[in-house]
Amino acid sequence: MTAPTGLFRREVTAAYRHPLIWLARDLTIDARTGQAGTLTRTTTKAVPDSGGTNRTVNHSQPGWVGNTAVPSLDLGASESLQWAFSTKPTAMCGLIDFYENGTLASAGLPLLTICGATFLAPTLYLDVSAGLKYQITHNNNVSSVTATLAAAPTSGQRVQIRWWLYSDGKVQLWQSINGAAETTPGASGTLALASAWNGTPALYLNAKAVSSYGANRFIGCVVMLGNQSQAKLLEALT
Amino acid sequence: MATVVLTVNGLDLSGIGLYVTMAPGVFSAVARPSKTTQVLGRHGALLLPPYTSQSRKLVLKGFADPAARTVAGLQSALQQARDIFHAGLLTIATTDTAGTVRQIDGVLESFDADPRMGKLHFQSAQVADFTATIICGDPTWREVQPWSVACPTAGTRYSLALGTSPSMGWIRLMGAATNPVVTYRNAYGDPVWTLTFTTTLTGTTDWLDLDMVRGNIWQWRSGTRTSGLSLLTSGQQDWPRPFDPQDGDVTTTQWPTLETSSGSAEALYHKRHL
Repeated sequence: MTAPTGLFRREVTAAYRHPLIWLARDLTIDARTGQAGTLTRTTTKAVPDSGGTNRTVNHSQPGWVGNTAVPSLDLGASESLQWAFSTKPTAMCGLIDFYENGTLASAGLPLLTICGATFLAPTLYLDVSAGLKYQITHNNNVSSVTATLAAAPTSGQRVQIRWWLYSDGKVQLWQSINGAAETTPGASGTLALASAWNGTPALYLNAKAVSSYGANRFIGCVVMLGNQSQAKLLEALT
Repeated sequence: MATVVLTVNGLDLSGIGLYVTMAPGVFSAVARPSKTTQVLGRHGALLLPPYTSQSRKLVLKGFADPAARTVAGLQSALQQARDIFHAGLLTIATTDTAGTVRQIDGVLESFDADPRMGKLHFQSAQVADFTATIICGDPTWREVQPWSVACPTAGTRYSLALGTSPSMGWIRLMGAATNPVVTYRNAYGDPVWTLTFTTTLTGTTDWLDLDMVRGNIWQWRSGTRTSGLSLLTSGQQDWPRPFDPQDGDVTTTQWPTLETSSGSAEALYHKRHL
């Protein structure tokens, strides 16, 4: 089923009212909200099953990881998962649930990006700061604002990062590590919202468009309109 | 009995002031009606196969007592409840105190709300009883987290741990492989079904995606997907068939197995329970 663009969706579940919901446990790269997923990887890699036995997955084959506490999708070097993203810049929010697996090793490596095919502004993205913490940046093609978390997870920890884009263009992150209470450094400064994202926008996991890749194991991803609580966002990932 | 939290599409109903006090159908086994026939000269009746399972009917009964116990508060809670239950396909989840989560999908058959009036007119009620009836076409509960089984070595049998009900999922065959044969065996080692594919899968780039849920077979070559149904040259009558715990024994954890004759494979599915 294809989600109509820019409309609230009521066809199947309450989840369809939101711009994007994807869960690794569904064992598909397609989003619950109807968008077909595109996985880019040309190489092979070994991923463990539920018992920890590795198998080698081939070109474009999703690498489902079974032996993490919650099954996840492994996205590594030169690998991204993307969906069409029709929501214009507006007050919105999201939550990304993943196991840290190496993205934090280098500044600039991406976690999540909303942009066109070439990562040009206006864009919104989460990546790694110079201090090796996750940060969010809103760039309206004139200027940009950034909010950076104060703490960093270690490899193997389960991380839930909630992000908000306010109606006045501010951005803010909250981080929960291994189920602990969220922490936030506060919001950035304000920045006027652009009328649209650059190009034909998509939401990319683990990449800035199709360049610069991170390396994490993703459990789920949700985007909602407005600025929602952690509980509300997690509801969609239940 | 452990405390159980019921959620509808991820929403704990108590969050909007709805409390479920009885839930017939949640813990029940699925009805399995049998046809019978009587034979002259014999006592009783003969059971006539095939035996089938019915859909599951969940009845959630409880009361609405919103945090703001006012007329407006009740109206708001019931309005949200009607909206939630009318969303379309509902995913009902139970979570017990051990953290075990099971899910089932269904659609609303009816939602009845009955304001508690006492001596008051119903328009003044602040609390109401409700009954939501949900029909679940697939009557089995699925484990929320999937299960994956790697079959990295051709010719080796790999166990498929299951729940108490058959599971459908995905089998992927990865190259390099030539004319791979997938064999599903019961716990005794006897073949139950065998799928033979006539194709050559190149290493690193090619794989077959066997979607048991929809009955599709896809061939992937360097990221390009084409239908692979015509590659199934033997065993069509057995496609698709589920992984069935009755091909093993749940109580002694003896499981059916899967193997491929060439290349490697993986099986992905959710365990299901009666």
